[in-house]
Amino acid sequence: MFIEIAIAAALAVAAVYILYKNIKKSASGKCSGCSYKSEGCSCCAEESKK
Amino acid sequence: MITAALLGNPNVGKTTLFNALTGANQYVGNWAGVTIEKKEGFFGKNVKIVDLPGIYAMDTYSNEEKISKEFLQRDDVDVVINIVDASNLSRNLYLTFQLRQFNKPVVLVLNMMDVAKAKGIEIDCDKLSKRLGVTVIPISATKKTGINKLKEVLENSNFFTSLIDNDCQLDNEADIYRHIEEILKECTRTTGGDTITPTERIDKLVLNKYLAYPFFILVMYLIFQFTFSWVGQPLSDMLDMLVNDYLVPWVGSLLSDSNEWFQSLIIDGIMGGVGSVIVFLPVILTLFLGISFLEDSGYMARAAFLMDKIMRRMGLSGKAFIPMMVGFGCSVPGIMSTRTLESEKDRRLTALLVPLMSCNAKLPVYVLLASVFFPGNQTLIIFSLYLLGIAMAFIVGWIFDKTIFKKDEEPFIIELPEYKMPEMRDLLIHTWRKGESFLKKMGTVIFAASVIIWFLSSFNFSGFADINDSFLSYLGKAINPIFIPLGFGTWQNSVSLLTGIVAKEVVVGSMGVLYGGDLKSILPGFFNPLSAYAFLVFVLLYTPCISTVAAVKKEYGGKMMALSIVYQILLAWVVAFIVYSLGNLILGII
Repeated sequence: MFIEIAIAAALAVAAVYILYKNIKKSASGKCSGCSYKSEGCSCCAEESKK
Repeated sequence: MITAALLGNPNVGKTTLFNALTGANQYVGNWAGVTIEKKEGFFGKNVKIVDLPGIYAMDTYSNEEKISKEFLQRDDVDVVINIVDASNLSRNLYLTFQLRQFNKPVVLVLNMMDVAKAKGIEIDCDKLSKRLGVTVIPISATKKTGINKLKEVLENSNFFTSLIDNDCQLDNEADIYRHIEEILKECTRTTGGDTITPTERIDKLVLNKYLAYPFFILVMYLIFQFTFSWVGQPLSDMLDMLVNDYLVPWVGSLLSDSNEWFQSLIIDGIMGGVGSVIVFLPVILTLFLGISFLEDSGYMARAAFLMDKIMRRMGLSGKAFIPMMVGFGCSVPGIMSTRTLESEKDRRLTALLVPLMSCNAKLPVYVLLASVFFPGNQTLIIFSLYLLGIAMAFIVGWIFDKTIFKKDEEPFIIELPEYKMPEMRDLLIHTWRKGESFLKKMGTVIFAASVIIWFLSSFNFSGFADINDSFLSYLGKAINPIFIPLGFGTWQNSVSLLTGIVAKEVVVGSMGVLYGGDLKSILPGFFNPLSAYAFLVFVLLYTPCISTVAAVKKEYGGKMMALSIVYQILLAWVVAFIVYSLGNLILGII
């Protein structure tokens, strides 16, 4: 029971964190998963440089 | 370290050469306007290559021209690699002559030598080099011939350092073209190549006054048939079977000793959410394999050309169709690529219309409902949604043109590239990028949304609760009345549409969690074919995802963002209402 609660809590925290990060990234005008890496998406252009 | 700027007319193979030199995998398209920002790459330790957007001249003021001009004015640019289409030198060399103003050494790369040869054009490169005062290197970027020679020249700085043809005074466009013709007379010879090229032969049919539009619709229909009937959908069904008939029961058996709520979190929450979306991966891959084929073959540029006439009537330039086509993949780069349009009015108007296109995130919703409610006719239903998106863009464009945006006409010039058989490697790279981004979303946004939706649909203020008495059900029931007139007014649908604002795939993920179990058997209890179609129309047209909204704000400001959100909600509601009401009326009469 304890392990299940711990896993569920970890999943919930991870989910909130991932969603928060994605929304933050999106809200700054960066796409979360677009594949047009060189078609003008500045975030993807930056990512492809790294 | 040498910095080399890679510059040339649109669609002459700059990015293909950039990839060949640097080993990068940047997106290459057989149409003008693919590159709209500069990109950097390296080969060896000493050469930096900067790929600049394609431009025809230095004396107009589109965004691409500004980017290129500003970059060439920098002191740290050591050499300009001017790539030209060897089969069309008379036009391409105009830009070469304009490069004189920057006082930089130029390496002239004659690309598409194979195409020139097929047209019977022979080029004396040594003579051309002497005549222009630049190093001339013949290559074929797609066939990767001549690339090593170019690398050698750049690595050893073995290029002319004098300016091109600097003694010659050329003051205006006519003089430059006259001078180019003189040079080409001396340096090129046209022998017995085909008088009518294969491209011209194909264009006679494809751009025929009467056949062009039916041919366009036929091509698109075949792509959809390939995706939704012949290949993509059957593969998707197999994956669905694998997930629902094998994976879910197997995980269920592993968790058989766990608490019921924990089983529900893993099976209904995570597997229900992520699993219900991931089964559409084959459909997305197949559709984009087809679209990449059209792009790389050169047909997409023709499609933009065909659309010009219709789009002009709607107050838009045909060039605006290119961002819209990009929007079929993802609205964010579609909005970014509106920068390539010369007029401010076109840029703003097109940014408002791009989200009306059916991006790949909407595809899982289409495929799910079409396969449940229109078995055997999925292709037709999904095709109709794509066409409806385009039709709505035309109508809205026309309305905005007459009301909000001032008239600001610009001519549409598009170069129709040579047809070519697409390279399998490029097709697979383009297609895989779609799959890669889709899988990335599965592991991040869809997973996270599924877990959160499960929690919010399993608890209320008193603790663990029935789904119909959960936090999400309260929210869903509060907004539900808005959707009742549209025929799909259940709280689960309302919540699914709301969560779709994060990313459109989440609509299906949310349905998977909220309805619980195999959606294909559950959904007929909550929709009929008409309300399902109204739902699809709503998904097609309603408020774009956060990324798209933010892209509009970033490019055009807060007012445009607000306009985009508000008009799309209203439009989606009105059109879905019309579809549902008219459908009921017609079905009632029948």
